[in-house]
Amino acid sequence: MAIWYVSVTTGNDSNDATTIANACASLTKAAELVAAGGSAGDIIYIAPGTYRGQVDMNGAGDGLDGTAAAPVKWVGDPNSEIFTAIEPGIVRLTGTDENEMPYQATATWMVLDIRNRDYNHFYNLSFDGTTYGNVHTGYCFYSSSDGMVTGVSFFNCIFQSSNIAGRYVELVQNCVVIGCGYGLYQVGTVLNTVLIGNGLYPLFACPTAHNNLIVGGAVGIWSAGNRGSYINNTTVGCNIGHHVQNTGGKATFWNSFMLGCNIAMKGQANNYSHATGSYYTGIAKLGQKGHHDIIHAGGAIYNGDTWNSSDHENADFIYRPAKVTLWGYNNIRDIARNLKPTVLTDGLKGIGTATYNYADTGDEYTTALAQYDILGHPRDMGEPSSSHDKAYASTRDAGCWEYSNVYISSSAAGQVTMSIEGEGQFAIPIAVASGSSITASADIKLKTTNALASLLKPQFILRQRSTEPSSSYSFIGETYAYPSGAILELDTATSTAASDVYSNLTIKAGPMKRDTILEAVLYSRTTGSASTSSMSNIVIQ
Amino acid sequence: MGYTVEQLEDMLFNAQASESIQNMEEPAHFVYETAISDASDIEVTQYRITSGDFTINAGKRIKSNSENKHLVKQKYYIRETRNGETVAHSLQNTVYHTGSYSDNISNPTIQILRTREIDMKILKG
Repeated sequence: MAIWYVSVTTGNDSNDATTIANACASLTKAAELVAAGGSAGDIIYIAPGTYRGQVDMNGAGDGLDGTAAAPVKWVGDPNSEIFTAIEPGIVRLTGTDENEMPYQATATWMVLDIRNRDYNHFYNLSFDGTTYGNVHTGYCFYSSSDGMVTGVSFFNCIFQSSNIAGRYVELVQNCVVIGCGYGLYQVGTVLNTVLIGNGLYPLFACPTAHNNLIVGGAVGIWSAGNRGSYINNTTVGCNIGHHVQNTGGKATFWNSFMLGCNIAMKGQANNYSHATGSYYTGIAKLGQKGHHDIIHAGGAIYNGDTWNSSDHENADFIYRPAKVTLWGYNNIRDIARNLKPTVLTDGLKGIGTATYNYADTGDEYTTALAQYDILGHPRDMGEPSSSHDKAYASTRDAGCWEYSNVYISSSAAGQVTMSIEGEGQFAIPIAVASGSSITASADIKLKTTNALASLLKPQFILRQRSTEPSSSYSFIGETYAYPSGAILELDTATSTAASDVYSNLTIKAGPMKRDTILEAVLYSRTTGSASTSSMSNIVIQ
Repeated sequence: MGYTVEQLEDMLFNAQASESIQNMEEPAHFVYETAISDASDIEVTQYRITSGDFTINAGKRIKSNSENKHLVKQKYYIRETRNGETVAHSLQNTVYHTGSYSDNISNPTIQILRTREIDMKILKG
């Protein structure tokens, strides 16, 4: 077994890729080198950075086959555990050009061409950038039609902003698919994966899918064949939650949790959808052609005639009401907060009003822009233009989110005091050198006349910045391994003082294992204009 | 005679599904390539061409007598530079030339579309 190294920011394709110092720079070159001099079980470490273009591992001479016992492993290193001299960050494989414009595919094109390869595993990689052109042309990865059984697998990877995330591999596990036209197409098994905002079919013709979260899409899970196995999946906000396409097909949708879909289950003639133990809520129609023990809790219009149509077996069908589902305020806020995209642009602020043109007449109208975003942060907006497109000076936010959420309210005699009215956060970035520790203290108070709100006193939090590297699989020697990063909150202190009385709170962490950026955060947890959290006398050392 | 909402939904769904399945058929040149790759008498010729310090994979010829198929893949690259110095060639696209087994198809050559400086920015999060 050999180890190979790839680094786009430090490598050179004239190198042999056998040491970090002699890393090659492109993944296509790495595939060639491994094909020529590697063997099953080899590991290729990939340094953080942006790898543009296509990676061709297709067919003889362009890549190496592993075995079931010794797959070839392509391992992204976002935390720089291997490439210790390189700044940690995303290991990105993209079809975009240097201006972040997606590849203009006119025929089927993929970032990773893995056709005719056996037993190659990919870890910790981020794929994107094939959204241009016909909706069926751009893939993050594409394997052969026999790829569902040939051991090509992805672990802890992200697929986004592509026509289709990928097709024809054996396993996708612990991954994220977001912002694609199609999600995963004909993947043998999909486990523990999150699929958000994939327009048509998030999971299409994947025969086995367990423990996945699917948010949005025309059909959440499309089962194309017999004996599809779909267990413990959560499906939210799809037109059709689960569908069985083939006539006479049988699919198992056990323990499903479905929320806010138009039709829960649908299928072609004479098929069977076993939904034992499932819990559906917010469903317009339970659907057609399914049976077995649906637990159904409110918000749905049950069309009994459709469900019980005579040409489908339903003798065992059990439909019974269940207790309601409830979400807490903070859970709902977290949903909104966490769906905020990272936008690849610089200027995002505007102000005041915007002038638009009516689509039909072209007449102008001017409207005041929202003062607050969906999370309650002050929102300044300006002229409408695409914040994603560097060809234009961007002056507005994207969607319902405000991208600037740091405000200082006042200063006097050299001392800064800042306040948050209602719920919100104020974050101070702090650079911490490797081996150093950090202590931050501040006077923090909550002024409120609301007795209930006073139960939620402000907090002072030391956390990793959201732009810190993603977690990675530290998998060496393990078949399945565990995220090595992702500790977000390092220390938390909560005010205990009475209303309008400062208490001095201290938070600390370290020594740090590498140069990093933390945030000291004032978190005002109350809501409403009658409650204000303030921070003053901040000391960071 | 009008349609019920359910019938209209069914029609829309079926049309959408039919279009999707049709569009998702594997591209013909991929099927062609796989037929050769799966043949027991596949013949493979790699075209790795040295240019300065670099050996560049210009493309590949695969063919099968039993399948009477012949495919030459011509690769197109972008030259990647760091501080103006060439360090890599990133693949942009591959063009397929097909014919029967005995057809004369030209050898692939090094094709560089343009030069660009490597993006040294490392994204976070």
